[in-house]
Amino acid sequence: MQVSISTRHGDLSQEVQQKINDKVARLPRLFERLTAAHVTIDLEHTESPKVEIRISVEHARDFVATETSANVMAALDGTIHKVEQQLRRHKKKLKGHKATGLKHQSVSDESENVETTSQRCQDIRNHLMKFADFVSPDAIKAGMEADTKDGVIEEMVAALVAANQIAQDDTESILKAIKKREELGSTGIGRGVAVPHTKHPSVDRLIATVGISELGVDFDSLDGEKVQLFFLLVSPLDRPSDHLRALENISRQLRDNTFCRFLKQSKTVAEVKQLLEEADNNQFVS
Amino acid sequence: MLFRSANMTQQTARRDVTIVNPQGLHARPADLFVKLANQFESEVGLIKNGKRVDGKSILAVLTLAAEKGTDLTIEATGHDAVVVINALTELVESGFVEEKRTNPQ
Repeated sequence: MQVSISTRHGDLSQEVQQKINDKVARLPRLFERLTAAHVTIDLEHTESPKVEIRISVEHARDFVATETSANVMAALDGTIHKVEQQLRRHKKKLKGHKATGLKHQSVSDESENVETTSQRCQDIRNHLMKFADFVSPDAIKAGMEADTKDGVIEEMVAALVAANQIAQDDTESILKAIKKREELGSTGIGRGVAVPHTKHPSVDRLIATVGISELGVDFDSLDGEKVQLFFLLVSPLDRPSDHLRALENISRQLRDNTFCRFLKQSKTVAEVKQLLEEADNNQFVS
Repeated sequence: MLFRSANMTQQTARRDVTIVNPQGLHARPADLFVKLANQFESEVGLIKNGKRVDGKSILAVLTLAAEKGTDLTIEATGHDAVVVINALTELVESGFVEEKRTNPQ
């Protein structure tokens, strides 16, 4: 996403502009279809600077928010908060449409399971997560270079930073937390799959990426096998259920041999994306 | 050992439990559950809302996505069914003893 900053009735230091840029550049974490952000800072009233953010989104009108506060950063935070609310609402609306589309597709699945009532199906449909709900497409890695456990974690976290999903400043603390979690017991859950993860206060929604290693890496897995498929998750502190639903999705999909094998054989990011999408569309349900 | 178990009668035991730890049945608790279950010979199942999964497979256990407050039934069949049920119930009801340490924060 392109971020541009302009000021009216005054100038801002390079440092402050960089800070503004960093904060705004994190917006695509919430909604990836952002194409551009324009920030205008009006310094006419030095006691109460005004910040306006205009966001361009694919297939939608621009989102605009303004906020006035005692200082530029506070006004910026207020504006970002408003824009985030608008984006969340927009995203929810989009999801709502998708969900109704799915209802028709999954009718056959329901009839197979005698024990579930329609209410329960409704609950499950509302709760099941898809890869698209938590995997950041720009951070997916095929042909990973790392050949050690720590190396894998570092390579994947770096991919999340490069995709603007986590801030450079938080990298060290996130890496430390993920490695510490591995010390308690490997997240290599067998079948050549590992789910290194942590909670971290810097994220406000579950973010994740996928990495594929062609040769596999020794990850102290529960079954002793080398790991080729990595799903790295960073969760907010207060959403244990999202984390559980992501684990549910990963383990449910990977129990399918075909999906698991194809994913391990993927050589390009495009192939990985394609497979995740097919899995989301239930094309591997056996 | 083999002879002894062959002489024992097969039995099925069931116990209802509730997930009490705040983070639910995530990777670490699932790992502990499966490791403990695998120390016994009985076949172990975990049931949520009528859906039954293999209690000795971590991939299967994780598909339950059992949050805090979820009611589960543990079912074991084998000569050591009662022992395994007791051990697994204790683990779940303790909130997976190590839960505090698994939280990196």
